[in-house]
Amino acid sequence: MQIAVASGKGGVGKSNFSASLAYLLSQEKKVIAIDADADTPNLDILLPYKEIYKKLPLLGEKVAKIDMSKCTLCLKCLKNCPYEAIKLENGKLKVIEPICEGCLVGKILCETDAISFVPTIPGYVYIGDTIYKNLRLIKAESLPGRPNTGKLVAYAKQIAKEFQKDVTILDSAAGIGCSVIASISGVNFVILILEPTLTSFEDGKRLLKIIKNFKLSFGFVINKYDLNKPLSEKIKNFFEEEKGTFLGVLPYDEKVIEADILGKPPVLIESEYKKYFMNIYKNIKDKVLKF
Amino acid sequence: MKIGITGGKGGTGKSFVSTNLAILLKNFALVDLDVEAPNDYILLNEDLGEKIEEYTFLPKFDLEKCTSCKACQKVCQDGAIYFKKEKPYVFKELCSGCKACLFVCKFNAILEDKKYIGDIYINKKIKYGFPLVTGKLKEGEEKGFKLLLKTKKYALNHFKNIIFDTGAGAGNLVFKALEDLDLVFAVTEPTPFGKRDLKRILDITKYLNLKTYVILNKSNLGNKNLIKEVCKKYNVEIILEIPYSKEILESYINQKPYVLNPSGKKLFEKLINLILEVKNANSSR
Ligand code: SF4
Ligand code: SF4
Ligand code: SF4
Repeated sequence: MQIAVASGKGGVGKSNFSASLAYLLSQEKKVIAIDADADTPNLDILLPYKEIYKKLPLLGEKVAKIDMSKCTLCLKCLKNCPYEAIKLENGKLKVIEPICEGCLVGKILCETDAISFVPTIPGYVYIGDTIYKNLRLIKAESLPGRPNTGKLVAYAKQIAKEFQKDVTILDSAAGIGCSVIASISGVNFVILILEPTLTSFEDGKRLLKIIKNFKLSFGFVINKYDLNKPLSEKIKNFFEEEKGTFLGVLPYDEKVIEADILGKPPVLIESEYKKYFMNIYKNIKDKVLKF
Repeated sequence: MKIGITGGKGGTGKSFVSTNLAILLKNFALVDLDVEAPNDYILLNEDLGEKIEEYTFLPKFDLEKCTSCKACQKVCQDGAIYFKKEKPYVFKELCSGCKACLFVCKFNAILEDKKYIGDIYINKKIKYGFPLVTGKLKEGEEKGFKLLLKTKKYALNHFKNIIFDTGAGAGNLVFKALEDLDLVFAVTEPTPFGKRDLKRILDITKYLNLKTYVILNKSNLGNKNLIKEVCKKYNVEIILEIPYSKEILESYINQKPYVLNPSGKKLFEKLINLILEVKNANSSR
C-alpha cells in the first residue's frame, strides 16, 4: 500500500502530518517513509536517522562543457539553449552548470565540435533506519538549483520497491510540477493536506486536477481548521463533492512547533494536535488501509 | 531595479512579503513566478487580468519526407519520440520542446507544432496602483521552467522596477527566477525546516553572487538562534523580523494587506528604506 501526502501550497503541514502518520503506523506495521520533496527534504528532521546505510547517486545525467580553443563565438548554442544555461562572460562562454539539462541542442548546432559532455550527479538517495522501530526512511535530495527532481523521486520510489514493508508513505513537494507528479503517480491513495486559506484552497484545486488525471482515489485533511471555520466548512464541502474522503481536521497548535524544534513527529507530544490526529489515524486505518 | 522574494520552504510568507512590499513601493510591478501555485492575486483580492497563452515547440513529423533514420529519437533526452511501423511519433506529455530533433533532422521531415503549457496574466493596474503579472502553469504540465522564463522575460521587457515572487523549493525554477536580480530577500521561519531550506537558498544566491538579506517571519514562534547561525555562516543579515500576530492572520483571512494598517506600515519601513537606498546607489552608478 502506497500513500502519498501532498498539498499544492507549501508550508501547510505536510511533513508534520507524514512523520506523524508514518510513526503511528510503524507501531503496528512495517513502514517505509519516502521524502519525495527532493528540492527541500526535511522529513529526517522529524524522523531522525539512526543509521544511513546507503547513499546512492542518481547516475546518467550530464552537463555541457565548451572547449574555448575550438569555439568561434558564433553563439548558436547560446541563442538556442532551451534552458538559457549558456552565458557570455568577458568574451567567453560559460555553462551555468546547475541548470544545464544536458540536452543536445548546442552540440547539434555547433559547427566546430566545441561542445562535449561531462557526467554530473544531480542528487542522491539516502537509505537508512530511523530511530523508530519498523520505520525506514528513504530520502531523495537534489543539489541546489538542479532541474528534474522528478527523476530523483522516481528513483527513490524504485529503490523502495526492493524492501519489504506493509505501507509506504510519500511526503511530496509543494506545487504541481514533475516532482509532485512523480510522487503521486501509481500510488494507491493520496492524502491532500489543506488549510483554511484561499491560497491553499486554490492550490489544492489545482492539484486535484492532476489527481483526477491519474484517476487516483484521495482523501483530505484540513489543518489549522480553527483559524477560519467558515472557510474550512466550505473547503470540506467542495472536496467531498469531488469524491474525496474526509479524514478529519487538525487544530492550530503551537505545540507542533515545539515538536519540530525537538525533532519529533508532533503526535509524540501530548497536545490538541495529537488528540485530533488519533481520530484521523483511525479514519485512515478504517477507510483507506482497511486493517 | 529588480528584487526577488524567495525562501526555500513553502508557506514562510513569500507572497505575504511580496504583496505588502509592492503596495508600499507603488511604482514597482509585482510578478508572480510561482508558476505551479501562484497566489499573489488571491492575497490582493484581484483578478488575474488579461491572458496570453503560452506554448512550447512540439515536433510534427512529415512522414513522407521522413527516411526513418531515427536521428531524432537518438537526440531526444526526454524519450519523447517513438517509432511505429518505422515512422516517428511524439509523446506530447514527455516533450520538453527543446528542438534537438528539429535541429538534427537532415531531411526537413520535422515541422513546428506547438504545445500549450500555461498562461501569462497581466492586470495592468490593480487597485493599489501597480501592475500584477502572473505566470500560471497548466495543470498536468510537468515542467514550469519554460513558462517561468517567458513570464520573467515579459516582465523585464515591460517594466523597469520589479518585484519577483518565487515559488517554494530550491530547484532550477527558483534559480532562474533569481538570476541577475539586484537584491534578494529570503523569507524564512525559526524552525529546523526553515533553517535547512534557507541554507539551500543561500547556496544558490551565493553561486549567483546576489545581494541577499533574510526576513524572519513568525519570529516569535520557534527558535531564532537556528536562523542566526545560518546567517552568520553565510554572512547575511536578518533585515526584518515579522512576529506572528492575530492582526496579520486576520489581514490574511480578510484579504486586506497588512501594510494598510499603521503597524504593518511601520514594520516594513526599514525594508523600504533599504530598497530605496540600493535603488539610488544603482542608478547613480
Ligand atoms: S555553437 Fe559552438 S562555436 Fe558556436 S558559440 Fe557555441 S560552442 Fe562556440
Ligand atoms: S531525424 Fe528526421 S528523417 Fe530521421 S527519423 Fe527523425 S524525422 Fe525521420
Ligand atoms: S523537442 Fe526535444 S524533447 Fe521534444 S521530441 Fe524533440 S528532442 Fe524530444
